Amino acid sequence: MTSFFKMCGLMSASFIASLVIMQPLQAASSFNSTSAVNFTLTNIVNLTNSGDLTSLDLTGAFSLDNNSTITSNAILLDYTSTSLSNPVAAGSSFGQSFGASGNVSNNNATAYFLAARDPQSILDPNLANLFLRNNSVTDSYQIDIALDYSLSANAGGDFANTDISLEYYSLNSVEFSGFDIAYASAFLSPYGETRSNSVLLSLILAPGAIEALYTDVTINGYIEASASPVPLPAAVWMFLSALMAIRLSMRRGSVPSPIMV
Amino acid sequence: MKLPTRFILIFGLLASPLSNAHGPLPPSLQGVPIPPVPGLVDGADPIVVNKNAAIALGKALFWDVNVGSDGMSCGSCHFHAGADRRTKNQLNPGQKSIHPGGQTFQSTASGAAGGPNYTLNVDDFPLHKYLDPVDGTSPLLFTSDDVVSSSGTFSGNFTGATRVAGVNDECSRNVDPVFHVNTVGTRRVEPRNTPTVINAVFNHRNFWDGRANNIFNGSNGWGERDPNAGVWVKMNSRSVEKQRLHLLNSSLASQAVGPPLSDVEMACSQRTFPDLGRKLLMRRPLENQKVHHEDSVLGALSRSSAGNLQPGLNTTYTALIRQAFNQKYWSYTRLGTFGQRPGQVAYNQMEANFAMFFGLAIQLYESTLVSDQAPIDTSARSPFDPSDGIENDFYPTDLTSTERRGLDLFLAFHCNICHAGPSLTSAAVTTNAMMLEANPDAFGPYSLVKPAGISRNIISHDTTVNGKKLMDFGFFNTGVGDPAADPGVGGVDDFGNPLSFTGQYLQYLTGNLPAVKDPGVTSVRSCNFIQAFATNSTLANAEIFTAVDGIINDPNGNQNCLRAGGDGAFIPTIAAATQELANPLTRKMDVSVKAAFKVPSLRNIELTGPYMHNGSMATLDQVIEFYSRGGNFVNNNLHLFIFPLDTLQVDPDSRAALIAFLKTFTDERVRYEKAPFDHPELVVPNGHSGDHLFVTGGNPLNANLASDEFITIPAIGATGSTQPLQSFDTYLAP
Repeated sequence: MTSFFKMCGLMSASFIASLVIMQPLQAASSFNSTSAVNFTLTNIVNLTNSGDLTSLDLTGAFSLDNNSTITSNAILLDYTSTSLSNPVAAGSSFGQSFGASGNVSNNNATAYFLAARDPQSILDPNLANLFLRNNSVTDSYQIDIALDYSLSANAGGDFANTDISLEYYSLNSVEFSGFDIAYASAFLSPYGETRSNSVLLSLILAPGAIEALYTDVTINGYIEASASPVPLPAAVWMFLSALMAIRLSMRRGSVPSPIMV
Repeated sequence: MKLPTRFILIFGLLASPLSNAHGPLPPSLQGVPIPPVPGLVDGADPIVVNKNAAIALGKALFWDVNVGSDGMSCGSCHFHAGADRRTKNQLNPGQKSIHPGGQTFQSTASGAAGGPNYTLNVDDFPLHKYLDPVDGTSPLLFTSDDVVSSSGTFSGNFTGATRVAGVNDECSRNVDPVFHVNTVGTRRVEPRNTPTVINAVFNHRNFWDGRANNIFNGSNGWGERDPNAGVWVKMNSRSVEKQRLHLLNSSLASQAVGPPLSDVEMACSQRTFPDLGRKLLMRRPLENQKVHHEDSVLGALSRSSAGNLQPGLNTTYTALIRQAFNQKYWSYTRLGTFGQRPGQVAYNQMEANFAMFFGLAIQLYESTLVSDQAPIDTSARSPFDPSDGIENDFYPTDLTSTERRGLDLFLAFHCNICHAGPSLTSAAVTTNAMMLEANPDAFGPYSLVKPAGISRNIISHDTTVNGKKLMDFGFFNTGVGDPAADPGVGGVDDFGNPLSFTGQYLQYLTGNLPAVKDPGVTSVRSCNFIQAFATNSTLANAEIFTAVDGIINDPNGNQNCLRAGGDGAFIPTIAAATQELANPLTRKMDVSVKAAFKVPSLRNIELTGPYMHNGSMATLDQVIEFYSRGGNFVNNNLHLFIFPLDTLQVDPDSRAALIAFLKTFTDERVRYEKAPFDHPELVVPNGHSGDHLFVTGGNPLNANLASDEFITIPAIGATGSTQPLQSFDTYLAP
């Protein structure tokens, strides 16, 4: 019986220790914002010489803005991308996945501003995400493009605020222009937002013409956590006090093992 | 001016065709349109894309103590029927005065030392006291240039603010040289009485001196006067431009962006709106203030339930701005364009435009604060019946006999000339003009209304005790205080321009168009002046321009004028105006702007004491006594309608009847704080521990600052409170 209680005591001690480990003694805040952006060339047609795509140059690529500012190493980045180059067939796609997350506790604060985009203030076709050039002097092309995107922002804890936005625009196609944003705050339940859409563009590329399509993804985030300890739930205190009572009763009749907390 | 001459003028005025009438009757406020603001919520590209979200944002900002640097909100001075009924630490030494005495406190009428942290009592009023209150020739017992107003901030020099928890800004704070008791600093007090925000949407301009411009420029209250004002507009993903904003009929926004940067009312000095935006944007609105689950605007966003009121809203200021405003004002993602405070992260577009969001959101919220269910509004009206004469047409018929007698006196003594229209102020220029344009009989039979001079004119030519003068319409000198104690609309703005439209009109007449800053000045029509300014007479005249001086046709026309046949549709030539203006004794270009103040609304006047721009009167009795005796200070700019009123002087029942009539302007929803006058919880600083002789230091802000005392205004939902608001004098110490 003594062994049983001893085992219960050790198990309880371990259990209590695990509770303590699971229940941090300081407040915490976290955020997570992610995006997925994908271009698909759903249709490519030579309107002049059917089937001849040799005069069409297509390149697609994404890049992270080297001017991004990250002010804390508590921020984790996740960035992958695929690219596209000639020869390109209908159905080809490329895209990027860009996200950031952060977690702070114990009176730390961090603010950051990140971007996956061309940092220049003027439009440089060579730095577009999708660049199209018609090298023919006689043929016209129709290219149908789908831009699919998903934005997700999540925040939690003491104080967390994050948004992830997408802006898309072009060199010549005014209809390819838009802005969307997902926002989350620790003060705004359900503490997360997801937004997604599919944008369709049908281009007619005349002989010698070019077109460039751009996307900018920007993530903002601010997280801060106080130093105040998070109290254990009342039930745990009751369990502890009951356990102490058991341990005390055990001490009267046996050699006790210490409670590890 | 000698008394006999004044009587002749008054007699002449009353006998003239233009004044042989009782003027406008107070109409109902129901159905009165808010003056339009083109482009705000309408048009192809409105600034506000979700009006309800903007109103919620505005209500949250109005009541949130995080807006202030040390716990002040707009509501802290506008919580009692839209005004302030606090009685402790509410004295200002009269800091608008040109005299050095305006920086020092005087003793009070009750004989106390007064000053900071003093608790006002009933015997401290009025601040200009005669032995016989209705006889201005009786011995003067007491006078003071001190002002009863509202305590605000400790102020200091702003250095920063957190984005997270913490109500107070980081400022270097010290003991104020004026506002202190012994060596302990107290909260500063404003130099003018707090007006009510209820129905303020109808005012063409706001503040007592009209400096809250009718045009909102998106940055501050100066309208077109500030050449550097503007808002940041996203052109595309890579460029943003600062553009001028020109929103008409937006004086509420112009006013709202003043106090949050005032180092007397709410803020540490050198704080900017981008700083305030940085402090607030990520926070939960009203994070420490309970919001009723049935709040008429915020209830759906509250975290409360029946019997369990909780602080804060389930959103952030950022989220509300994004819902409410056109994204071109907040969606630019690049930094580096909007400036920054040294050593801090650069402002983003939302922070840079925060003044615009703040001003317009509060304007839209305050535009809902219209009290149109007072007895005067709900009463039936006598029909228009020419067969029995027009003198009895359009009268409210549900008044008691005493109230009706009060109305008769209100008309007989020309109170209605200044307190005209549905909000009972001629300062509601656009509202009053629009109503008459839509229906000339909107204020009663039109022939009886015309003498009040109501039109689109923001300037008039009217009569003072010292002759005819140009003056801002709706801003009059009524002799409340020593003219040297406060210039009123006769002051200047931060750029040295005259606050008054009249001052600009003089420049217009002399051909100096660059000096005209405000719209409306150059479109003034002289044929709508109450008194002719220029006539096509071949005889010389000492007071007005004639053909002898040189006149031209008023370019703003002579059709559809208040003066019959377009009489007076002339202005002086530039040469004549210039010559006359150079004459220091001019009468033709004379103006009445010095110590002229905006005519306050009489709506809910029962609840919005103390009264006048200097808060010198605590009760409506004292106000009527003031008018009965013909004002306090006869001066050259005193409006001619301020003179001793025999009937009121000798008959207390008449004074009581007039007060009874004034109480018919009280909306019971205001009295009981029912929607739309419900509100979140508010903890208001109400003086400091101790009194005017000794205070306790140790304020958490700074040990040399006095500990605050507070009154807690509970959160009230749409159905209102069971406890009615009382008149100001009720809260005074006995």
